[in-house]
Amino acid sequence: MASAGSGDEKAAAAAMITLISSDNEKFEVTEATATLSQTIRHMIEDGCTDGGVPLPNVTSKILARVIEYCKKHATAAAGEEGSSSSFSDAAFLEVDRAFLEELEEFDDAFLEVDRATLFDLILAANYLDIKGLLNLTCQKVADSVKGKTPEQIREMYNIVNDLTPEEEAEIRRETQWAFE
Amino acid sequence: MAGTPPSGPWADLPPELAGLVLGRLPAHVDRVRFAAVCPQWRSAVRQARLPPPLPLLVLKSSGTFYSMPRGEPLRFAGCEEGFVTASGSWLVYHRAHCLLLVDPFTGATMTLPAPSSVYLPAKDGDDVSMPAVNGPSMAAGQFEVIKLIVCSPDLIAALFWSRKNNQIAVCRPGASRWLVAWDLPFCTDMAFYQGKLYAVNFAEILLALDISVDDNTGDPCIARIGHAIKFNPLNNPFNVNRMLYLIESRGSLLLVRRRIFGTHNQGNEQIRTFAVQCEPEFVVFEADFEKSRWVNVMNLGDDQALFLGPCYKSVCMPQCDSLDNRVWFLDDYKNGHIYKVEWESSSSSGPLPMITWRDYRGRSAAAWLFPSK
Repeated sequence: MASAGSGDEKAAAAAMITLISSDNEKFEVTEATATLSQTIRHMIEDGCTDGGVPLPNVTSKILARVIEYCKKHATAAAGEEGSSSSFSDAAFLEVDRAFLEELEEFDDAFLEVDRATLFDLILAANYLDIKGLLNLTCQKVADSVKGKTPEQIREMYNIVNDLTPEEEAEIRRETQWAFE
Repeated sequence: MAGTPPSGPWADLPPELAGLVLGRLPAHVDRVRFAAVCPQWRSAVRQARLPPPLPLLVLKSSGTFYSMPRGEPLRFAGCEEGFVTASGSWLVYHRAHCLLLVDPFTGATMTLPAPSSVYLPAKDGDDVSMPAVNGPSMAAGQFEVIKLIVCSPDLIAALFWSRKNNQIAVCRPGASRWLVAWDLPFCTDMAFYQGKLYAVNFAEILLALDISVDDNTGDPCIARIGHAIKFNPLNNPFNVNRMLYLIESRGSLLLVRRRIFGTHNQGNEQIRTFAVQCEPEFVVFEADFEKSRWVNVMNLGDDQALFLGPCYKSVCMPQCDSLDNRVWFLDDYKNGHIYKVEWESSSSSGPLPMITWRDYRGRSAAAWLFPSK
């Protein structure tokens, strides 16, 4: 891992962070990738990342997905910064658009997960404070419930209706129009 | 509950995360249904601090409510068609001796004096008020409601059309009469902004209407009319083909000037052609009260959506997915009773999107209704 390379590689290698999942799996990522998480960014700033960053709330399965997301978005961010000086405005816009399109496709594919995974991703994005991922996953949930009845939503998200008959009656009374 | 499998993790979605999801549901109906899923989600909706939901579009002829932005049709039991106008969450109906306001979301009602009970308040030294209809400086004839604003639980303001002049009057709910403003020039729109009533006339002068309350009767009246903005250097007084709107947006008072291209009463086919070929133009100004002037605004801000239309209560919509920085407008034509909702992104044809045209007399076929919390 720490073999000699070009200057760039060295700089990158020097800034590797180890993330440790709840089931004790270790993931080595660049600082640029890790710092998409505000939580980890603060830990790095406080110098508490030696020996790895334990993430007791995130399983290896979910952490792998989160890292996949961060890697892609960190690359995109770096690409934007790097390209701004070396392209003309028009070319830069072109590259910019291509980046955004690619990123959108990536996000769409990334969200093709089952409901349980989506739930864990939201919790992880919240815990790790990754704004982009939190927005993305919450939007996915919002889009999935739009235009759906409560019963359809319960079915979709495997929720048992345990509203009391009184609560049910109150809802009907107050908002009958929403259920006709 | 034997045999029923327990809920998956989604029932226990932490309230703050449920709030993030809810913030991405701009339609009121979606939030209501979200709240009916389970007790936890219900409680999350109650805790969430959400931007106001999008309005519903209500058709006068059918009494059908369309939920924006998807246009899902909804019906409210006991909500009759034939309302005069809408104001916030209220639908306004004519009754024999009063105006009846009905809130379809809560079932609440409010009774206001009939438009025939508009009076001029007593002037200094004069202790008799007189009916405004046929009264001095008033044209004879009926008053019709153009716009109504529920300013506070004790103060209602209305812009009335009468034959020669528009009039602004105020009352409190349950009162027997409206008190009209003396000596008000022809005003095209009014707004309640930061606790004060404002009106705009065709010279684009912004008038501030001071309200005082009669110690004896408790009735509000317009005590004084001041000039908040005296003049607009960017106004062409000879151009009468325009509509003016006062609207609050992000804490500022905006004047929206919409240019009208000739008449619209040439039949349905041409109306449609017209709307496509001739994009309406409009200009937006922000009131600068300190310098007493209108300042041209080039952009509404990224999270803003304005809803304009006949008899509207205009509000701004923060953060509603892709609806930001747009103006939704109702095109409502006198003859055809056609309604049409259109929206345009601000980037398509200029710094700001298109805005609506409205009939002075408020005889609109549709109105926006803004759900009460």
